[in-house]
Amino acid sequence: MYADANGWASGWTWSQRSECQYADNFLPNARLAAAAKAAGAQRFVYVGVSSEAEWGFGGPNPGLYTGKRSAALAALEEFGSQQFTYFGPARVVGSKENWRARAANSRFINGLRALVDVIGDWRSFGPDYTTKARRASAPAHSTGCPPRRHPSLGALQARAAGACHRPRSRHRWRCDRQGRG
Amino acid sequence: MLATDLALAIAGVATGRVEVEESVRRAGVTTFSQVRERDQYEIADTMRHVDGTEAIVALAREAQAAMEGAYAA
Repeated sequence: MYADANGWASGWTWSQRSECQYADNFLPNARLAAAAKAAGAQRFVYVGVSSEAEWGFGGPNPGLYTGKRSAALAALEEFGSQQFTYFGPARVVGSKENWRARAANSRFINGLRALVDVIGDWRSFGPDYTTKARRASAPAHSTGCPPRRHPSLGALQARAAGACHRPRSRHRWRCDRQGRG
Repeated sequence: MLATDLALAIAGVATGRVEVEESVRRAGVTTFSQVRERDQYEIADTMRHVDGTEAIVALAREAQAAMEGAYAA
């Protein structure tokens, strides 16, 4: 489970990680449903994720959740609405034994969750609010861009003249796309 | 332990001991690749689904009661 900006490559295109997550979650499950149907299975139970989890983490993990949903829809089509059941657990661990589950139920996290619920009304499509906020505020070097510095007077003059004060590199184009540099 | 409850609930559905009503599963907005924001759409899939930990645990209890009743009979 990731809650970072690496699920998207640029704009509205998935990253390699998201493409792999989609392939890992869609193809095997869709083939399994088709094979089960072909073998004569009468009912199909699919274990996916809770709608809340998909809502909250679908933005940073588009390939993962789209892959799970696509597989579920493929199985639903195979078996029909009366023979298909979708289970969406929020987590499959014991809350007392797992420290992450305990932390997720702590007062601090519950407070953050309440805040997210308030912010949720403002949530936009695609990369969610937290992802966009992280992109906007993340240190430049984490996105492959050189660290941001206050430009010198010479750099400002050069920029005004339409030239770049940094040597051209692979990163240069990416920084321009993000409005940096 | 949710893993046990999940297995029990699945067994209940698979064997027909318990039934799940069909309803709309809403899970935010799609996040397809190379699809712009305005072209994404709200997820609203109509299917028989059990959503969330509490619902699964409740179904597991129902399945457990149904199975115990069946064995007792």
